[in-house]
Amino acid sequence: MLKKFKSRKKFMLFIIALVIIAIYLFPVFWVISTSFKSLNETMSWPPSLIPSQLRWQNYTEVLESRAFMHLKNSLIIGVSVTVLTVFFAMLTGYALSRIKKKWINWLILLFLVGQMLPQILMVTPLFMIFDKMGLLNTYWAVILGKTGIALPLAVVFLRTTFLSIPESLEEAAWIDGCSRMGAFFRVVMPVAKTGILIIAAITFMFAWGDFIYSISFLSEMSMQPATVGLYTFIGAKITKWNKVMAFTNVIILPVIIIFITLQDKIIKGWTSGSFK
Amino acid sequence: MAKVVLENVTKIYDNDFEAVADISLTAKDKEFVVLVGPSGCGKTTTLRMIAGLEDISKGKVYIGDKVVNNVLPKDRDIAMVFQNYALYPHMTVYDNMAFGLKLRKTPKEEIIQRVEEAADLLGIEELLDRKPKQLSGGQRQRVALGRCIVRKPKVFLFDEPLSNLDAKLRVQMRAEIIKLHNKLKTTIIYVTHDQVEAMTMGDRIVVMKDGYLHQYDTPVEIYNNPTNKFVAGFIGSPSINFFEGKLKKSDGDIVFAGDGFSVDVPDEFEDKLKDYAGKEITLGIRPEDVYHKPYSTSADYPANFVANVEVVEPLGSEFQVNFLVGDTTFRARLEPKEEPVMGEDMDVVFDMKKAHFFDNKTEETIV
Repeated sequence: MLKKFKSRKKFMLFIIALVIIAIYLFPVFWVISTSFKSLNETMSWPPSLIPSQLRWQNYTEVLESRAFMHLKNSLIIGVSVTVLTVFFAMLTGYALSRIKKKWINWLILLFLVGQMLPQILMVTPLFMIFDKMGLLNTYWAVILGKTGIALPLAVVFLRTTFLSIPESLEEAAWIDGCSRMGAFFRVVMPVAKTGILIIAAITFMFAWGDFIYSISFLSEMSMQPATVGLYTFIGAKITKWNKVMAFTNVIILPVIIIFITLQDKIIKGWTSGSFK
Repeated sequence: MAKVVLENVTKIYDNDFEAVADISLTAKDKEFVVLVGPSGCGKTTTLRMIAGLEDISKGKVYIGDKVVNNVLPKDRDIAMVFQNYALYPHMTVYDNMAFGLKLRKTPKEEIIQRVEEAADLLGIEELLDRKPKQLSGGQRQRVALGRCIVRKPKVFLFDEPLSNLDAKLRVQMRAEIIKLHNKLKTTIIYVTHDQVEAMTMGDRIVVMKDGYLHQYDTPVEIYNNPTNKFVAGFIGSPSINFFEGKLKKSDGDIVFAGDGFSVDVPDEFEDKLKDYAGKEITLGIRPEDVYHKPYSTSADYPANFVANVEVVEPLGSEFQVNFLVGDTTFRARLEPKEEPVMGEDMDVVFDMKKAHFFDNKTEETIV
């Protein structure tokens, strides 16, 4: 084993890396482990690292209760936020990448400042606005609030993507017979596909994981997303930790699937070699 | 196929920079016109105004008989090859070429036929299924040409299409574009900073500098009769030699007195030069109009003097020589038989009948 590493120092660094990874992954391991334990086992002391038996019932019982309703709500919110954010960010980012004026830099600075404001700061003003608009206890409250928070980063990110696409590509498309919009949809967008996909995935995960806006704007349980639903599993007197963990795993799963799928897209060098 | 006419075309950018100043020119139907000039001279801006990619600040652009100032690029019926080729990276070569035809709702059979025809003409039939990133520079260049050809537009616009190719490929593609033009007979407007490209390809050349049109004529005419010092210096390789000096009268003849030498001015020039007697003036002599005295053809004009051979560059067919006279270095193209020897003095003759004189203030050609 030691021979593989050129020096003692490198071996030590490898050990340190392993320790750090272990520290980071331990909570994940703990979630998975606990999700298969019986309620009694979660309470026992000293705690067991590996469940004495795999209790799949934890999962089936969670899914048979209101889990699907919450997941459906999460999906509605996640998809809506993603669609709105990507659509507006694409158009805004494209415009900002093609207008060559000095004030653009100030505008982008504003976007970035907006990005820095903590989400929770916006809860009270948004609550009052949505209350006046009659949007409380509708999906729109969370969708609009979340889109507003997600947009700045998406705009700045997509602007950079569009900046990296040579303008001569669009110009060629105009000359070939496209209108400005036509060139955008037929040439610019396909070339920027990877960037758009990445920002869509990031936005979806961001919206999927929302807790603050959902718990503030949606008091009706039938509309609450999975994150809030999970919270309600934590009881006042007794908490069924095994079921909480099982549901946690169910919520995390889509995020993990998206990550694994996307990895492949990022590696694909899309535009390499098309210019020069 | 159509003529292209520019009428007092001016481009002023938002920051008040005047990129193109009052340019008027006509490219006749089927003509190959080259816009040439140093970088920043406005040649690309001019081309982009013809393409519709740049607004026209003042003046009119005609394609055919129609003013196109407010016509979108897609409706101008032009095709353009970009410096970086601008091939659509997400499409195959076939789709790149067919894109314009599809947008124009050309019947599918016709698209296939026209793409295949163009691919055949350019020798890229076996590349049709590939993506641009799988192609070499020369192949991309051909695809970019193909994308233009299939559309059968009224005008081809080329924006420095060969500048990204290596020297050998450049010469090869140059010849191919000339052949293509002979075959297709489409009006071409071609931008380059390379005067050799301009000379070899253009039916007529537009020489530009700082947004102004300096001369618009055939390559031979521009070479032999440049309108000013800039055009004389820009066109020709190796470039023309300039000598600062004074015109003097001696025995009724006019003599040009330069730094460390003086030469007689031919009689036929005297009429035009008489106002400059006693004044500072610039003499221009092309390298091929410099001879070793025994081989001179212009014996009538005793324009000989002694110059030192500084550097000799034997190119086989000719010798390129740097001479030093006074503090001035000048370049000559000599035949091998003229036997220049490095470091030695040589009797040099200028063929003064082919000389040019330039006004020092206006830099305009006097003769």
